[in-house]
Amino acid sequence: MVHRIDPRVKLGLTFVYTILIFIFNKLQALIFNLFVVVLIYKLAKISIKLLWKNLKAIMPMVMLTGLINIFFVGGDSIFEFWWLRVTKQGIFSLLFMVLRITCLISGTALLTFTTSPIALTDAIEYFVKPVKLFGGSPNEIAMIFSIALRFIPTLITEAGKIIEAQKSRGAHFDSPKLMEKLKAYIPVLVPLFFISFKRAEDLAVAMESRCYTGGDKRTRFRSLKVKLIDFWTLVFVTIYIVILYWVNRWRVQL
Amino acid sequence: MIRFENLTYIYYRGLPNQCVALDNICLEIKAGEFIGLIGPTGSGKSTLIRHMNGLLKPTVGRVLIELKEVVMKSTRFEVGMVFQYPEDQIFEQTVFKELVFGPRNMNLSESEIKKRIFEILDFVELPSEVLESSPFDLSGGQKRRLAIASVLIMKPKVLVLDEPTVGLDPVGKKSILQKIKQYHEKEKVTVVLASHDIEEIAENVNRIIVLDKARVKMDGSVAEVFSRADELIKIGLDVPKITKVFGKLKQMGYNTKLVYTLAQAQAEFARLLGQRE
Repeated sequence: MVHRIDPRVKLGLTFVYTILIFIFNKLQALIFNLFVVVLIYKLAKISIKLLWKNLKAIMPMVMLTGLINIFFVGGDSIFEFWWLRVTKQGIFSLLFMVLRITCLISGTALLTFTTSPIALTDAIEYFVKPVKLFGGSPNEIAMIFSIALRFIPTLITEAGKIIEAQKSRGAHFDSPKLMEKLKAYIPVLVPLFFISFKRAEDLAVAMESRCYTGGDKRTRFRSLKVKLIDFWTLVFVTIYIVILYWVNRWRVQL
Repeated sequence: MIRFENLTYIYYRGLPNQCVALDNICLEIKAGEFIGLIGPTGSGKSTLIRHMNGLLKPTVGRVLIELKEVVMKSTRFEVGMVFQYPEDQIFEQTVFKELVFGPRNMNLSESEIKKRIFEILDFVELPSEVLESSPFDLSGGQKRRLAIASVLIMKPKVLVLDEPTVGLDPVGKKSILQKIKQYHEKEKVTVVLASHDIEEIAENVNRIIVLDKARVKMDGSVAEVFSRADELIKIGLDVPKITKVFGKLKQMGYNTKLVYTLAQAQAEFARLLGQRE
């Protein structure tokens, strides 16, 4: 069901959502929000496992910033050790940070999970229409986006192949030392750049040989129409924001 | 010797898009064999190959090399792997640096490396002038030979090639295969050649393994496998053209055996013509 919502509506709402996450500043609002997001995942029939995989990748970074918060946020201290001071406010801000980022990622990932890249580009094209006023072409901007999106998986596969080839000749990618690990990736970048330039050239030739001319005079194959479901989505979200606002005003004693 | 014991490999295990790439594979590859690995696209050839030097770890079962279980690093030098496109493995600024990448990782002495470089250049017939030029300036065939040289220079006991001749012209193809065969005979190494080119397989190998839908479908000598032409065609593979010609001749009532290579065909034709006179 979530998949069928107009991509423009989804993109717009995702934008609003990110702003909301930063406006609502109470722990209970974020917890409530996360609960609703998980419900939407269930509704869209996307496994939570997939989301968890995405979250796991950035968790170390989140935890690091959180830990720094624990020690450096001033307030009522819980215990002190040498120059380290753990405060109630610090722990609170760690929890808050983790929750906020989890909300942010799970919410925005919903957009990419339920929207095809093509639909997403169409939505982007719709939203960048104002650039026409400054002499830009929304169609071209959308094209750049769609090409960039399309090449992400290709480049990942290419990088995987290069890493395999170098591993086969004894390169150390699993060195425990960070510097050595980083160094091992430099030789990967060289052929990756080479391949991507070559691909870009091939693509340019392919587009030209099919007489591609961008511009806004092109009619579209998939035209976006606002449907009933989009209307209900907007109604639902408006009600949700009001509820969230109400939840956010609760006073919870910690 | 490489042994696969009940090898199963599953991509994206536990996710909705999980896919069984290898299903309970049991195989034994003896030292000194020249093996052809064929199978339709998506049959698991590449996945099987990637287990031979530990790029992939089996989901179930194990892979043994010389009765030792494959561990990441040490087997990398025992099993040399040449990938499909040289662009994927060439990355250094000069041919020289490209060649020494493997040996330096093996911690060989500089004098030994120097010796090996000239040996290998001579073997793959690349002029020593190219040493200081960029590998990206080489021609397609030369790049391919450089890619193979950069693996052979580590002197692996097993050489695994994943479609080494794709996209080469006929002369380039022939010379690459000749080099591989020569190396096989000279150094007595085991060679595993994965390819879609059935003629190429027939000309070179002495045992064929056919994969289909993640399982071993056939395993035997060239003659054994190509005598089951109908089954091969059914799974989307083929037999050499010359084998088809002789199959037809046999149907037409000629007293002939099946042949697989041009050389065999010539001999057989000569015999048939001799009979008629």
